[in-house]
Amino acid sequence: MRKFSSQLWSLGVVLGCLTLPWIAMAQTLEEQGFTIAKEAEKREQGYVDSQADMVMILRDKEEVTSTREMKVSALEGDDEQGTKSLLLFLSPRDQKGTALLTFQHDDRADEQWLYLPALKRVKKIASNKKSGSFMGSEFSFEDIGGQSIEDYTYKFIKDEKYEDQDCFVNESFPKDPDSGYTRIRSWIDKTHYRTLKAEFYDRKQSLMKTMTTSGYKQYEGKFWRPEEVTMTNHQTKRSTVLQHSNIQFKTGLNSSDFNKNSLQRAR
Amino acid sequence: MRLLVVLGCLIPLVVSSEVYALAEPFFENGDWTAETGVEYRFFKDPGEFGQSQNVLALHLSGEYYTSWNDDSDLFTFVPYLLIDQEDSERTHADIREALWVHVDEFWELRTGITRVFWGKTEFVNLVDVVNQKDLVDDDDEKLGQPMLNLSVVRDRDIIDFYLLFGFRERTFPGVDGRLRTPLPVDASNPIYSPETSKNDIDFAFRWQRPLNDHLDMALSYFSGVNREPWYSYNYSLSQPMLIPNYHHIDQVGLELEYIYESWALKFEGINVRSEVEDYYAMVGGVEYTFNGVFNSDADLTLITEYVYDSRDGESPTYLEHDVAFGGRLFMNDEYGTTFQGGMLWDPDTNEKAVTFQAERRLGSQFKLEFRAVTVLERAAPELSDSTLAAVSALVNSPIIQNNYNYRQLLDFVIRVIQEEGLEELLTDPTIGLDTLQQLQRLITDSRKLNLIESDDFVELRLNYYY
Repeated sequence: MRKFSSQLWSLGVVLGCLTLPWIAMAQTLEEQGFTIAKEAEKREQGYVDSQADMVMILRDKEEVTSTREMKVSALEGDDEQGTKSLLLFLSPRDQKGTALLTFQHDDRADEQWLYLPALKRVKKIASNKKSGSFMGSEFSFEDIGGQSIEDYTYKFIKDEKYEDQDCFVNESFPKDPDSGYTRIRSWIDKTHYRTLKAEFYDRKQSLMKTMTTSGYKQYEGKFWRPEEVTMTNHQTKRSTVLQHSNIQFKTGLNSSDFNKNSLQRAR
Repeated sequence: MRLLVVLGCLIPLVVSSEVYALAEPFFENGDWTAETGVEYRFFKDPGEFGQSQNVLALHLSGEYYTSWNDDSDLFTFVPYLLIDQEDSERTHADIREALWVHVDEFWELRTGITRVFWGKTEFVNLVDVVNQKDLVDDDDEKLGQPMLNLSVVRDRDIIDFYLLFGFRERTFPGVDGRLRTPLPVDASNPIYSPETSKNDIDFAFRWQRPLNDHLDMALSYFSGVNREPWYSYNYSLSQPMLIPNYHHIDQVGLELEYIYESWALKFEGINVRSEVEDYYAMVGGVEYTFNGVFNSDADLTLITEYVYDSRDGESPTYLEHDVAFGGRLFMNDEYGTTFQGGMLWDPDTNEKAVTFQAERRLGSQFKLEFRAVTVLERAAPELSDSTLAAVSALVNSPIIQNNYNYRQLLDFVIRVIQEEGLEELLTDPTIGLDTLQQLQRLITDSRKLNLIESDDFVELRLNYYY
């Protein structure tokens, strides 16, 4: 099964949950849900590699409390190897040069290495962290890391209009007991299978966070990427905006750009 | 040897074709960043030798970075300056990095000065020998080492060959510095064994290979001047000092790391053959991380490690048969708040050293760090009460030589007499006793912790990044 080629870090995708045209009446709601996710995955495939700059803006109510700048690059997986990605921190300044390398695996736990520039040390780290804040933001590790379509079960809920677009409303249920969520409800537009909005329900089944996307643009005549992803936490009233710029595809990256040596020299 | 030959053939090929055309790009389109740190240390007690209880220091470093040829050539330059209010030996400048990296698809060549990290464990990294310690700066700081490093990547294997040009001598606190040995070290007059010199070209090699998704391995070899000196005594009773002695070593190192879910098992082992001793040492331990403790975003990592050194009490560090415990609480918040605590415990002597550290970002350009270091349960060495008793105790100790023999005893007494004169030694049975007792404190089994006796301190450091 191919990995959800999700731009992982890059588009903060949270794609875990896409929905699909209800193709056959014979399908159960669960099968319909899966078919939608599958179609969305298919539309993500073939990007080869990508790069983007990201700015993360942390807000407490409306007040900006801090920002982080990052660079992400990803290399699409193939039948032999999963997606590889590299996340480089440019700010806050004490973190400059810190970088995270991730090898996604479909059938087993991902592998991750963290580079600590002050010590010049590359440290392999456990990749089982799911819930919990990413860098103090409202995104958690599982929101931001690439997810595999097999990481969830699905259920199609209904058709609904969201911001004048015909959408599937699909729910996905994380299989991993370490996930911070019990379910994620997503609004996916029927034309392009883009996630326009998603609601995250916590372990107590109450609404915890809402993610919205805006400024979708198409690249390479195929791939849709939002310029901005906003995650609002209803429990803490804090929010985080993730802005993408300089999105590029097929830039000629190869696997030698994703190893412990490249991690150390990333800029 | 074969590795050397291979390396010898490869490097001229690579260098000759590239090196000439490349003077200009080093200074084009570069970016400077810098960091200033103000450090304040408060020592619990006044210095045993009259050193100050309050010490201010300033750390200044910059980084220049440029790249060309579509990022296949990179150059970084990192000058560093440390100014200490009290200790002129701690005040020093260093080039941490002046490195040109040429990147190809399956290899990269690093030419110039840089720092290299080897190792897996948390409390001590036995295998990590490429760079000399910048001891006056801090225990985990390193001096820049000139080198040629070819790094070959093959699938998931990384093989590094190093030629290390010139030996960097260890830095030591001066007479006015804290955290020094009872007898100061004369860092500027080291003794090199006949097989070594300051201009040695050392060789190192490391092969990293993941054995599966969870288990990583690295094998390393180092042949060169031991970064860790032995010490000899300058035989002076009026201006006693320790002299660093550098020897040649051949070290083989093994690193293993197993990570599964929240567990990590880590191991480092070395086998060392030197001109003066053969020994092995290892460190291994377990680490477990609790994600989201106390119903928060915080992660808590607990670590325990055991250090073993086959030299027992003769090992030059205070890590011989020690157990280490530590914890790290990473708050995962906006400010990167982190707390760390650690304890080293020697079950034989019951000595304990405890450290606590905390750090937090202030705004986007400042970071505040706090540290406290204390030694609990010091074992007090037994000191001789006459000069001759002290001399004979010393002769039987590693600081003079590893094993007692008559010749050495004679040499030692003769050297002292030459320095101080026979008459005074005979007329006053306590002449130089202080000095000899200080020397003796260094060489008992417990000498390593005595190095920092009464040097418990707290440190506050504010870093500014721009």
